[in-house]
This record gives sequence, structure tokens and C-alpha cells, in this order.
Amino acid sequence: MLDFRDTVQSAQDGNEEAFARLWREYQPGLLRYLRIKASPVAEDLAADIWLRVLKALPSFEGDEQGFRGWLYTTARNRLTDWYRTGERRPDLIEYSSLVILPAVNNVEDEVAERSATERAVALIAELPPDQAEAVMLRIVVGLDVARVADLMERSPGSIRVLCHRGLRRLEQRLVEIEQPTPVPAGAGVDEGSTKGFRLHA
Amino acid sequence: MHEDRLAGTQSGTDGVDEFGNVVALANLTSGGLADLLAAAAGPALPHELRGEFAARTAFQAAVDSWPAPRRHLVRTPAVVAVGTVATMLLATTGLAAASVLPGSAGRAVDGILGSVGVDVGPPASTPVATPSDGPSAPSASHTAVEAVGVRHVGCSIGDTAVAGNTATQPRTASCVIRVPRTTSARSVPATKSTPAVTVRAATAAPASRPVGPTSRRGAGGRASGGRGTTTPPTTLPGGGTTRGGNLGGGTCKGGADGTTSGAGSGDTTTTTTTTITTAATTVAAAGCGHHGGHHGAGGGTAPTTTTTTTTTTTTTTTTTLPTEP
Repeated sequence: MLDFRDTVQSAQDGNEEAFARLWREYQPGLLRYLRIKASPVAEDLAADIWLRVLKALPSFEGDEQGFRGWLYTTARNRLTDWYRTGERRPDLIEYSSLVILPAVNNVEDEVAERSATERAVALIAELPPDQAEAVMLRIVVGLDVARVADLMERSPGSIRVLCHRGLRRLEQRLVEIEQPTPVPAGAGVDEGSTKGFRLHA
Repeated sequence: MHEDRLAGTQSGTDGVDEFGNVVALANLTSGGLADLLAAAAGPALPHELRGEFAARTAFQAAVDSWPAPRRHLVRTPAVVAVGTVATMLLATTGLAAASVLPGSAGRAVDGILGSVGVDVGPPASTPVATPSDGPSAPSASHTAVEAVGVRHVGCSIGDTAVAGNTATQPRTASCVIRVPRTTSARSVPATKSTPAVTVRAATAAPASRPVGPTSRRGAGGRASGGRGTTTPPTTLPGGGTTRGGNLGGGTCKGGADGTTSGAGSGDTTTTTTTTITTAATTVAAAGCGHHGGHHGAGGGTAPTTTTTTTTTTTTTTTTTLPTEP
């Protein structure tokens, strides 16, 4: 369990290992958040966000919730810049360029774990943008309602409603996945008509 | 068919539908939704930690660009204690040299400092620095600073000691004291991190109080006021009202006790290292606060100037000393 205050103070004093602990703690959540907002460039944006955090780290004061709030505020600001400056460009990837890399760990376990997390994030990303963001920040990242409201510039009540609606939609989506709509007899097999969640192409 | 999932207790989100009606929420503790949310918030996956090396590299680069005090500040009690002790020692030396400590305290301090090789000597009765004054060899018998072509009165930050100049409005709130290399006063090498020293006014001045610059001039009065502010003191201890001697924001009134002086005209300008500067500032306030009456009549004439050290770094500190009981 990360001892937040000591770790932050140690990082502020220049301790690389302390910063690495912070990074490992918060990077996954940040990546998943960015994947629902800007999936193609999530890792690039995450790196840029950490650079901004590093620049201001010496002046940070607060608890863990404060740090999370600060991190995601920085992320949101970076996303805004990304949208405004037109950096967002569609990445066209040819199928032939996809490479299957050899696994280094237990293939089955890793695929299963990656599947569950990535499936979950992908389902959340299917929600309307506001609901997806509210669910991600509130439930996945773990920010409290007040901080999410500040981040999203909405009222706390609005955040609660967005979370509620998002969860309801997720539940309905799960039902659809578990009980996909049967394909009419005689129809050709078409991947696009399959409602079940697919991991990859 | 999935009503069981909808039943259950509310957990973390408001069950309010779009019409504002309270509805039962899904049970987030079990079932598909709970599993989905748990997976979304699950532990890091290997590919999510791929960028750690780059992050560490970025951290190292960032640390180099951080402000020095933060980068080099080591917050250990031992370091803080050592810094405090060093500051107090130098301040005590200055106060003792300036003979602004009460008699018994002064004797005690003299004894202590003497045991460690610091000779604070008797108060100097050197003439006021005049424009024609030039550098003179510092006396080995005491740590009094002698004029080194410095004419202006008192303590001012950043002021260049140029013969013929008078004290100008200091740019910062702390005193710069130039001490001669050959004096017996110890000099402390500049450090990058110099803790700000704030001494709140108290009712008595124990022997261990920070000692200030080598000015021998008694203060003009007591330092009142609260916390030291950035009001720039233009005089050394004993500032009195002369030259805006409001050390640390308090008001040193020269008139009441030392009527003729407290003028703080002790032309003491000593440039020293950062640490000493800090101490000096502290002292200055102390002197002002405590000994206005004792040396008031002296007229603040001791131009104690000594040349000195290398570092030009100045530290702004705010000090407020205890008022006299």
C-alpha cells in the first residue's frame, strides 16, 4: 500500500524510486481514463501529462485525493489542448501492419486479464461521453463527487445523475452481451451484426 | 429477468432517474456490473507500465530543473537542528560582539564563545565612518568591524559600500553585514538553502538569543509590532527611528530610552555569507528590541565595518524580537 505523503515528499526531494512508485500507482488509471477520451493517443498524452506534473511537483501540497484531482485536472486540460489545437487526427492503420507479438508471460492468464480490463474500459467508452467520464472518474479512478464535479464543471447532483445513468446503461449492455440478439435464419454471417463484445479484429 | 440485479442497496451513487424519482440501483457488490467495474479499476497490466523507464528519465531531467532549495532540501530533523544551531551561534556571536546582550548574558555568551575560539572583545568606540575613511586593518582583539570605505549608516541590503554614499533605501528586508576575513568572527560558507528565521518578540532576551551584526550601537528603543514583515530595515540594530529602522515590521522608537541615539547610526556594514546574513538580521531586531535604553546615549556612532567574505547572496528574513519586559 502506497504511503502517499511520505512517497510524495520523497519524490519532491528528488527520490526517483518514490516517483516511480507514484507513477506505477496512478499511470494505469490515467491511461484508462485517456482511452475513453482519446484512445489513439492515450499513451502520448499520458506522457505529456506526467511531464506537466513533474514540472509542478515541487509545489504540490495535499493528500491523495488532492493529488488525484490535480492529476486528472492536468489530464483534462491537456485533453482540451489536444482537441483545440487540432492534434486530433484519425489514425489509419492498415490491417497488414498489425503485428502479433510473442507473449512473455502466461499467455492465457495475461490474455484473460487484459481482456477483462480492456473489455470493461471499452464498454465504459461506449457510453455517452459525459456518462463515460463520470463513471470512470467516480467509480474507476475513485474521485469523490465534489472533485469530479469540479473537474467536469458540473454540479454534484449532475454528476450523480450521470453516474446513475451510465451504470444503468452498462448493465443493460451487459445483458445484451450475455444474451445477444439471435441472428435471423438464412442471413449471412456478418461481423457487424454481432452484438457480442469483440476483443479485437 | 434480471430484476434481482436491480434489487439491492444503493452503493455510492444516487438512485435518481431522469424524472427525479428515486429508483432502486443495481447491486454493485455482485453480478456482472460489479465484475465489470472491478475489472475496470483492477491492478495495472504489464503493458500499462511500459513507459516506466521513460518516466524515470523524465523525472531525472525535471529534478535538475527544479528550484535549488527544493531540490537540495533534506527535511530531516538533524539537518534542521544543525542549521538552527549554526544560525544561533553566529547570531550570538554578533550580539555579543555588539554588546547588546544584557550583562550577565553577555558574559555568559562571551565565555561560551571564547571556549570555541570566538573572541568578541569589548565594545568598540571607533569613530563614525567618514567619507575619507578607508579600509583599515581589523583589530584582532575584537570582532568589531571597521570602516572600509563605507559611510552609510546602518544596514542595508545590496548597498554598495562606497565612500561618500549615504545609506540608501535597502532593497530587501534583511541586513547585510560585511565581516572582515581577518576578524575572529567565524564565517560560515554560504549554503544554498538558508532557512528563514523568524524570531518572535518575547519578554526577555536570554543569552542564547541570536546576535546580530557587529554594530555596537545600542538600539534606540524597543521593537514593537508583531511579525517581521518585509519592511526594509535600513539600519542596524539599534535602528531606532533613524533611517527607517523598522526591523521586522516593528517600530524601534529611538526616543524613549536612548534619546540621543538609538539612532542606529552604528555604521556597521558587514557583508557576509548567507547564513550570517540571516543571523544578522535576527540580531538586528534583537538589538533594537532590547537595548534601546542601554546604549541610547551612545549616539550610535560606532562605525564598525569589516570587510569580508565572498558570497554575495543575501537572505531575506523577517524577525521580530521580544519586547523588553
